[in-house]
Amino acid sequence: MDRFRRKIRQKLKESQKPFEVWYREQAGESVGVTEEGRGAVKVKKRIGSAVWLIAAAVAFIMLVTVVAVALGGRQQTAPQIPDFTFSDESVRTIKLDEESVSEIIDDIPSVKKLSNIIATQCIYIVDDTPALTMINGEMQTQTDFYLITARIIHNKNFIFLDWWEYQDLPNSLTAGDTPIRYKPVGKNDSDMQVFFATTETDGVLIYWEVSCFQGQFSDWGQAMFG
Amino acid sequence: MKKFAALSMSVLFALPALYIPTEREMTFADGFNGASWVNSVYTSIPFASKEDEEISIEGGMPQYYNTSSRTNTCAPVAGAIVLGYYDKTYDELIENFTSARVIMGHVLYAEQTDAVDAAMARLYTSMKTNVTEGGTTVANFKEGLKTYVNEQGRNISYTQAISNEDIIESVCRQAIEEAHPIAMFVSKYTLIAPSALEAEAGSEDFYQQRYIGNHTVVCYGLRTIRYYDANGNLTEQLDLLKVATGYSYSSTGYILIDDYGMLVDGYEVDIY
Repeated sequence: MDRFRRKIRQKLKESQKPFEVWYREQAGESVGVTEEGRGAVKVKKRIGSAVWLIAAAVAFIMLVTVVAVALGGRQQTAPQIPDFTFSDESVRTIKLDEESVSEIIDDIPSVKKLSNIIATQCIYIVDDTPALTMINGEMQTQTDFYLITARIIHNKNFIFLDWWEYQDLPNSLTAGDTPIRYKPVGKNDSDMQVFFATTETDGVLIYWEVSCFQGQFSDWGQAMFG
Repeated sequence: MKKFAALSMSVLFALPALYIPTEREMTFADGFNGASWVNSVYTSIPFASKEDEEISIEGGMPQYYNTSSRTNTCAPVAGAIVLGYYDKTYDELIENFTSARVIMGHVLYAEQTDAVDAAMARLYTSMKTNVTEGGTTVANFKEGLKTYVNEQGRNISYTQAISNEDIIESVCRQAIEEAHPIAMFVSKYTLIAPSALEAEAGSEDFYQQRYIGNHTVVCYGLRTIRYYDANGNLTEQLDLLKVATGYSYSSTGYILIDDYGMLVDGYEVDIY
């Protein structure tokens, strides 16, 4: 290490100019100032340098200040998201027309059992593809009334608020040929019991939110898929 | 010559200083031009026991969202949610629409129809959304909602519920108790799913969704959860606002009052 330091010092020494050489260079530089009739070359030189330095410093500070103040009133930019997941910032919601709903029903016949269907779709704005289709509907059985939200997942990178609540659902049942994983998640604002459930058939992953007054989740499963 | 150049440069670079930008009023926006999701933060709070206190407006809020091509619409959406809520009492607020029905003895909100979309479009205009900048200012939100309500033959009053970036708890509590929603304007915020904080023993494991940018929500509940260890010592406390988010796929949630988020402004809204 010491050898290395010595080498560096030696290099630094080599790069320093002898005073005489330096003086000549500075004297030559100051000729222009002398022509203006100012005798204090060094001083003027210093002042000249100082003006440039001050100008540069002032300019830099001004620019930094103006940019900082201007940006201060704006929204902060989003930090880099380190993976491919996305959420609210990257989707727009559109209402689906009857034709589109019919196509969904063709693909997922159980949806036909719902009434008062309203369907929307979240479009991933980056490539204009559907990220999620959401179907809201109702179902009435002899014992209970159900409000149903079906989220059909098209892009698994779309992280909506309760996405996490659908992972690792602990309970399971099979209705008809459809395996269902589910969990009760308490009551909603309308005092309805809420269940989160997932089904995945023919490669179509659906997140279900099932709200009902009597808590008859398995009855819903049979009515929907049985 | 150099001196002249130096002075010129000084003046030139100093020119921007003459432009002193006036402080812009914040605008509130959501969606792809506004509030942005940053990440999901996993949180685990071990506890031996917990206390969970919540007050909220019974029946909650209607779950409306923007389906138009308009952007930065969170303020008109929040306004429409407030209108839908009061439409239960004053049916003229949203024309050609009945916002609620009774099923099995419970009041349920009707799904959003074209009538709600039309109300949102009117609010978008009356709130001057995206006129000067992207989104809606707080002043324009208040004035725009007032204009709309007055045009429907009703009156509206506002009571400030946020001060110095914190809730005025007495006002918020009284508002909720009197079943008055609170329009809230947030900048950066943490949302937690409504069903995420239901652990009965062991540990509370949940995800916080963090956002940057500005957003308008409708607050209709206050919740405090206190976690204790086996010795009965308080180890953690969550202070939460129950809100209608205005998002289509996650219409309700809790905003965590924490160091990350900022409550910019908020008003109890009473329509009569």
